[in-house]
Amino acid sequence: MAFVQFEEVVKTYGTAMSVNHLTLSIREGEVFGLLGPNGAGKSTTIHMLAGLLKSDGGTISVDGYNVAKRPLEVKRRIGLVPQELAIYEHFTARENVAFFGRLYGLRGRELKERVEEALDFTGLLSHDNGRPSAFSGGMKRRLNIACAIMHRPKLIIMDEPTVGIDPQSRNHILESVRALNRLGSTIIYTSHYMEEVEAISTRVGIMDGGRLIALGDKEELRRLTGQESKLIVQTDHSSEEAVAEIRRHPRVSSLRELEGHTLELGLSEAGTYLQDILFILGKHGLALLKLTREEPNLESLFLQLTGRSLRDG
Amino acid sequence: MRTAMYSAGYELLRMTRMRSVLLLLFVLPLLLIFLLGYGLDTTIRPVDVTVHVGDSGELGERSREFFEAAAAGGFIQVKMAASQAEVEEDVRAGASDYGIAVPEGFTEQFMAGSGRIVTYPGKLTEQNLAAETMLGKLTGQFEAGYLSAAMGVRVPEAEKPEGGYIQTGTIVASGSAEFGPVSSLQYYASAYLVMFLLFSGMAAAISMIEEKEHGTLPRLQSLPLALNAFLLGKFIAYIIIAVIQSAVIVLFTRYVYGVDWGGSYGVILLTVLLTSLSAICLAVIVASVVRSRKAVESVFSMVTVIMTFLSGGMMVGLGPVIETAGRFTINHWANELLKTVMTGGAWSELQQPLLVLAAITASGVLLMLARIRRAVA
Repeated sequence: MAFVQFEEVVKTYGTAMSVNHLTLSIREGEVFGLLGPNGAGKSTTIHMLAGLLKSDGGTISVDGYNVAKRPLEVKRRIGLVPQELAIYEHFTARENVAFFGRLYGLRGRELKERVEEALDFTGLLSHDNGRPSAFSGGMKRRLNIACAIMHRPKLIIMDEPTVGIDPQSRNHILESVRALNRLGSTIIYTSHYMEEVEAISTRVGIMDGGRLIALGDKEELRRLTGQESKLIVQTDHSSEEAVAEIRRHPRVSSLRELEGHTLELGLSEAGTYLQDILFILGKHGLALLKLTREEPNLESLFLQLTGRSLRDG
Repeated sequence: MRTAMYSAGYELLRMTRMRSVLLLLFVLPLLLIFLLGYGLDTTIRPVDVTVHVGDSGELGERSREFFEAAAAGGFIQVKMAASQAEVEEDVRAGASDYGIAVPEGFTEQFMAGSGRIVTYPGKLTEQNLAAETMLGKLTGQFEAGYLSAAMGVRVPEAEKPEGGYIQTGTIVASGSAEFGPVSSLQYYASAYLVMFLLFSGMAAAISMIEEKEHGTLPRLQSLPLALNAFLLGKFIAYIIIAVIQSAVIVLFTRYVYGVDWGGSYGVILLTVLLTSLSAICLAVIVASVVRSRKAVESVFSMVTVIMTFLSGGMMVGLGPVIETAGRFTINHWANELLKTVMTGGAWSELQQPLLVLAAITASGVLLMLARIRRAVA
């Protein structure tokens, strides 16, 4: 059974349909990446899941509890990391985490331990008495996460958690996401940054215009769009015979000759091919200078699915 | 309830970290009360003194001459009264700042070592001081034996009446024409206490809006709690702050400026609670319409200043039209309650303003409950 289930969910604003009959299952223990440009319906979807918005149709459930009917049960299982920093500037890092911990119902020793744990997890323990106003953007983002995980939620929803921060903090946050997942949390992660979603997600859903236009792991998405992996081969000189022989290989769906004795091979499906290519090059006396494999990425997938770049919004 | 408690606790903690707010809530009201209350009282004008000289003897005559000479100096304006009762009435009605009565037979009593001039201080401290200084000169002349020597009578030091030659009369002054039954300091202490209570209500609504504008509202909404309980905690915190603010203002003005707040601190507390709650309600209603921090600040400040003005909190004697309009403000009824307490009003006098203020508050609470979701939406 799915841990998170959207069933024909609809949300409209006036005449505009922000979420259009969304049906989606997210399994327990997944890191689910939700991609889409601004206005795609990601935030609305997440807000409905977290109980911030009511859906106009369909049902959403978390761990078997209907969000509309059992909101408190659902909210106890959720930790929301909102896109905007949801921390208090006048409180210290420790006070911020403790405040939300208390509101989650944590008390006494348990609260103290969880606050320590969350601050330690996000690398803020040594800054626990500092106020966010003195923190860097990355530290604020990490505190934003600490406030959402101190009650050890089963489902962590992260809405663009790395917006506007330095690479070091971004890496720290991505490592934190992996670690939280290893500890058993299911994670829904939205981002504009394709490489982040590629790096941490086990499955990806792509939304556009309120609809889920693609769903699966990276290989499934690649197959869905018919995108090819590419092999770039650079040799010391050219050989017409070698090119002809490579072109006839069953895995090579396309071949382009580039400048500098370089070939770009399109690889249509899974299977062995590298040994064959190297054999052909050797047979025709070509020395290999450079060999690169380019996998289709989510950015190009998105471009192919929607006809526009993700960041075009 | 626990959510409301935590919310209130953290709101109070947050407030203590904001120095500008503390300055606004505690220092500014005291400064304004001082500037307006004292500023208006210390305008330089002659002291109005009503004098009755009932003594037909030598000292009565000398007293008449003394007051005429003092009036000629321009520091006092003397009105000669036909009776001691007229002196009392003038001071009671605020027509005079100070009253002096030299009683019938004073010369004879003085010679016997027991005569006393009766004084009736008004409620303006500076005017009283000026009149008493002037009177001191007269009695000083008596004590120095100047008059007695001139009359060939020596008054032995041992026979001087205990407490000197002055007896302070016991009348309850009924205030000045400008400020009604209270002094200007009392008037402005009450007006500004109420005005700043309204501002602390605005602070509660702003704190609520800041949850939205600072991005913490989505997180709060995602927590397993009732948002209304959380907001209730916020409002409780601001009511606590309003009570502390009022206590500071009342005690400070009482002991430093000498403002007489009367004795019914329970009624003052009730007034503070009702006023701050109605201010919070009004601010939330405003927030549900204009919906941004800056807009709430602008609109609510304007509403507060207008209400303070209409209720006479900025200047008195605005005419019957504005005074009638002022009766539709929170300030008017809160001020009425406080002023009634200050003048030692009976329970029957407190009932009307108390009931009206309670009705305003109850209506505000109902309207707020209807609009609060909109304010945080």
